[in-house]
Amino acid sequence: MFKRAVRRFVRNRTAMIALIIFVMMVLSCFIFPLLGYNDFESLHLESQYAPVSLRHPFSTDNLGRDLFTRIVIGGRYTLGLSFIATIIAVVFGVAIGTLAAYKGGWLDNFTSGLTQAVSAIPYVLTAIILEVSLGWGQGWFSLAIALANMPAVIQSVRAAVLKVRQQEFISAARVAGKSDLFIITKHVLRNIYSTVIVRFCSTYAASIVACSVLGYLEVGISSPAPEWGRMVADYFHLIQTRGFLVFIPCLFISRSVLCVTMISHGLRDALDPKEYQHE
Amino acid sequence: MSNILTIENLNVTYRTLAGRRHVLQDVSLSLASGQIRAIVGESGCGKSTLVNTIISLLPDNAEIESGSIMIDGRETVGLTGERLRKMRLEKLGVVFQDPFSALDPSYTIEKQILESIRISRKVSMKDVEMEIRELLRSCGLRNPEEILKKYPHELSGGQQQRIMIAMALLNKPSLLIADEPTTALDVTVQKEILRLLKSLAKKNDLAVLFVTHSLDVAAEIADRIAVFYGGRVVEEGRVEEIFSFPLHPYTQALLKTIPSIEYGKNERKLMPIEGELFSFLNEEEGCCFAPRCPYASERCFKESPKYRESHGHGFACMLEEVL
Ligand SMILES: Nc1ncnc2c1ncn2[C@@H]1O[C@H](COP(=O)(O)OP(=O)(O)OP(=O)(O)O)[C@@H](O)[C@H]1O
Ligand code: SF4
Ligand SMILES: [Mg+2]
Repeated sequence: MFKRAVRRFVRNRTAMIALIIFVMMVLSCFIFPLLGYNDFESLHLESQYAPVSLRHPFSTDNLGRDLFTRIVIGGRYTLGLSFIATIIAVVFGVAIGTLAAYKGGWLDNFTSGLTQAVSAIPYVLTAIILEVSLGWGQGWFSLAIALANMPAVIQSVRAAVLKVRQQEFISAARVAGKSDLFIITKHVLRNIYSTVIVRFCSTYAASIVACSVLGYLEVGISSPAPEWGRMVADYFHLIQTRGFLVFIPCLFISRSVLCVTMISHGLRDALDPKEYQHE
Repeated sequence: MSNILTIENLNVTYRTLAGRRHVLQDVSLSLASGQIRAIVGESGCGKSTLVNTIISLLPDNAEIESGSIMIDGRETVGLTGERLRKMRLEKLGVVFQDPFSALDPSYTIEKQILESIRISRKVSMKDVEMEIRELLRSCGLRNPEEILKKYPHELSGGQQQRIMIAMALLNKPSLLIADEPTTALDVTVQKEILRLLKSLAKKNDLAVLFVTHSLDVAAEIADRIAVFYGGRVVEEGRVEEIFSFPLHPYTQALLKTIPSIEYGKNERKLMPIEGELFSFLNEEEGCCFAPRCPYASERCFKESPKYRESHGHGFACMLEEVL
């Protein structure tokens, strides 16, 4: 079944192109700094807006810093911090959602009430509120984004688990004397993994957006750091004269969000259980 | 013969928005090893509730008000946690109605069976391969090697149900419970499964509780029948007695709906007895069957009939003439 899903994903051209572009972006963030593109903060006022060259593929900014270096290092911030946030959100979201839906009762009522209440607030706002009001510094940045994304993860995992739970193989496993832990790990999680994988990607896309917005607003991340949203804010006053300084980071934000979304759609289509049951 | 299952005065209710539904009322039953007992009743009369009570799978809004369930001499009402798990593992085998949804779609048959064995014994596939094949063969699956490698959705309904039966027997239970195990299958397969269950019960000296809504399916497999109506046992006795001397008006009505042709014609699933199904909601005085009973007198609406029994054939009706 897994092989079949991979084959179906590979056949999906949009998703494959998105995956290739995204992987290349991530690799650049780690390879180019090793090749010398690693000084993103020291000022070279003499070489403001240098002409495009191999040394400065995207030219330099108003302070003479290499824009390409800032983009690839910034990718580590934006893509990296939101990746950490996504892992936290998905791991805890899956654990909480599964437990609540499987156990039911007050635990389920409590979690679904809380997630509903929290998801009434836009998640970016939730992240800002957590960062600002709790005085969380940069160290907690990913956690704030993770918490903001968690209600959505919990809700979709909960729905998936409820669907699995009412199938008779769960009852059969219980009366066969299997323990709850065994049932959850071997039967429940095994049957919701497609939901989890797809959710992981969409959470990642949402986290990238949140990360950029928080960077833009200088919440949790501050200026010399070349986080992409932060860069947009740094150069925003130059948008009339040096538009490329704003345009390039924006392009990278939107391109990565778009790629991750496309990948998530491709995964969803490839893993759709309705399809493989009838093959 | 010792009793494997003894149920005494069991009362179960559901809490609903419309109020309490008293779904099992003073149910008493017993079942000895080697015996097959059928529970017969129309849809919604509480058969699955009884089964779920016995196997401790009641939904959260259900409550056992009173009563006792002894399985192999041990009280099971109120068992929780590890002791419940042990009891299920050692004593119970359950076959569900829909074999497709009772098998996990993500694993091959081999994996599922092996996992089930591994709950109680630490073994590898090699150790138990012969045992599993033998078991599948004894459940009427002729090419176990092939079937073991398949996923549930690659098998027919009959094959799936045979695998469920095999899995229910894996840990040598003393009590096998089957809730409408043949309803989802077509008629010829249904008859084969019934025959299989019957022979397995005799061979392994199993006690079988077999739930069905069809009297003729019950007649085909069971030694004794308990007729359920409105969450109560309204008549109970040996199959021959129920068929030749039905004492309760409801049983009589059920028998009339069976056309007197051979078994196997499919058209008798529903029992078109006049009147509405029992609702459980407004508990009134009197006999539960009174609103639909052709013999109901005024007294039937005021007093509940006592359950009477003689020579192992019991019923709950106060109409003396039917005696
Ligand atoms: N969780 C529940 N909450 C409230 N009422 C319930 C619940 N489950 C079942 N009931 C009610 O209890 C009654 C008995 O249900 P049960 O499922 O035991 O019937 P059944 O005899 O197995 O019927 P069927 O032949 O359709 O399977 C029905 O009236 C049903 O509506
Ligand atoms: S007690 Fe009365 S209503 Fe009930 S079954 Fe007997 S005759 Fe019918
Ligand atoms: Mg039922």
